[in-house]
Amino acid sequence: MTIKMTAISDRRLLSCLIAALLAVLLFALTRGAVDLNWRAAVTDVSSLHGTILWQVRLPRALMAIVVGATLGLSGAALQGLLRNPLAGPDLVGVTNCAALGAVLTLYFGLAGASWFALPLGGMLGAGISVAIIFMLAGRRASVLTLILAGMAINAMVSSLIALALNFSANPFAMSEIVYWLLGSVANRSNNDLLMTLPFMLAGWLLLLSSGRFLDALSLGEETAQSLGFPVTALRWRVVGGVALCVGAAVSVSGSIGFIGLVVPHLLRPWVGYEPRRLLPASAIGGALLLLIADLIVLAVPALREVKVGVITALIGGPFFLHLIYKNRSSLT
Amino acid sequence: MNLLQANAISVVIDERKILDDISVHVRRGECVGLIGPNGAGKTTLLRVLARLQQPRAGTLSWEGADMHTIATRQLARALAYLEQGAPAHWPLRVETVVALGRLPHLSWWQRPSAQDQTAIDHAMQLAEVDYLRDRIVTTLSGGERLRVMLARVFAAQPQLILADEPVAALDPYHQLHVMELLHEHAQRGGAVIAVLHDLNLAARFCDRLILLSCGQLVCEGGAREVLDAEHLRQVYGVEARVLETGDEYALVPWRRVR
Repeated sequence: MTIKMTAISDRRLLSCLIAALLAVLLFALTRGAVDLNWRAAVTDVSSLHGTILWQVRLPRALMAIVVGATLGLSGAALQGLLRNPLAGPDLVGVTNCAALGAVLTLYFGLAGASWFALPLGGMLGAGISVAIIFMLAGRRASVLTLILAGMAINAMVSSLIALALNFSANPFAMSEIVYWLLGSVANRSNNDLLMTLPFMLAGWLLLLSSGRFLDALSLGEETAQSLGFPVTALRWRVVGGVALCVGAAVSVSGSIGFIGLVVPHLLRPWVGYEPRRLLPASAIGGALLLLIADLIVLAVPALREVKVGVITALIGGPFFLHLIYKNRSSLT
Repeated sequence: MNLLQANAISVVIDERKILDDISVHVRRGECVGLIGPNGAGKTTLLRVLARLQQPRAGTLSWEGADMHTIATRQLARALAYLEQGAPAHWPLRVETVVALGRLPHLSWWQRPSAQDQTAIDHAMQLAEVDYLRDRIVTTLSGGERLRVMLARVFAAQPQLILADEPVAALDPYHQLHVMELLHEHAQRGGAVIAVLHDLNLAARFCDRLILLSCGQLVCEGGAREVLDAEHLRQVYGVEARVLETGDEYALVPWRRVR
């Protein structure tokens, strides 16, 4: 007789997370400047209350959910791929590079030319950054090379964004870029959501279907290869998946930091360290975390003008310091 | 028929010839030791056999069929590779690590079945790591971790095990234990090719030794034949004292002669 000691079963954990997400979503829909008349909002979509619910609050909450899910999932996937708990889309420069791609499309006025220009710019930026990380950190990505590669990419990207700001035609264009960079899910329309969702879904699929490969990678690349996984192809699948969904997410939300780093850490005590089990849990966990962060912005009057990206950075920064402190013995 | 046959393998890395025209084979029931000084090309040869390294020239065949005609998954089930140092990158439970050995048997939508669980339990009993089932793999001692990785290899139910320095950095007790486990695998009708540095363990547990030097195959055969004074001097540059009692013998590298 063997005793199973899995912390919590997959199904139970995922249902708990989904239930929590739905509860927070419902709560988020009741929050806002106006006290919502639910009957009017649900029965008459075109009424004032209907517009508030369907055109303002729901897109905002859904945007928080899909962007959060993207960041959480990408964080878990990158940590699995690089076998490193300090990886995350923003620390290794993916988020900022995607933001640069989007900023350049905004700057050159391409965003208005075609509906997919902005997400495409974001995804291209994200893809380039992931490729650079791979060339720098390579097969045996040590913590040091990884962090240094991320630092270098972030520095490069900041300078290029500064250049774009420097050359921007007028103060208005400049403030548009700056506000966009702070990262927010407010004032996004259903169209923004529909435009980027297919790319995010494609990225999620690529990542979620890589779980077994990431599990095998925990025994090293050679062993994974010997277990029948075509390592090079699958590595590009994960990289491509991250680029697709983070690029698309960032192109509508701007850079929202630390979700990808924090979520897998918060979940590991319950889920364990298996990369495959962390993937779906981190997706839902990321959605939950960003929705809550956005709710804080909504609910606290003093924070109403603060972008949610600023909040996640304020909380995520110290959390990152804490992680380094905790892991400092194994970081050499 | 030979289980695995490699013909005229040559490997060139960065314009440097690592392996030069090497042919090796292994039969069912055989435990083969791959020996030679540092830099002889042992690991490279093992990686070629595991299809982790593409040779510049040469062919590989499995049970008489060209290896390229066999599906990757099918080969992954038949042929297991034990990486040097047996790395584990996450603090996973021992049973979880052993279960990873079943991956070649699972499609991505399949969940592990009762049959998989039986294979996992059996593998843990074979490698005698049953009592470690709920321990975290990164907290184990070197010897325990290697046995866990061996259980992971057994869980795939492979025919051939390719092991790269499986007993390096283990204490004598665990060295004997791991060699016994590999030897038993061959006895059960499987086959083993292991890269070894300990000549005594190689002589005791392997049915056949293959001696490499500077990418060339020097000699192949029984332990006494391969590890004679001449080879030890020429290939390893050492002189050894030999202790013999009946059929058993042991050699102790005694002085450098180069």
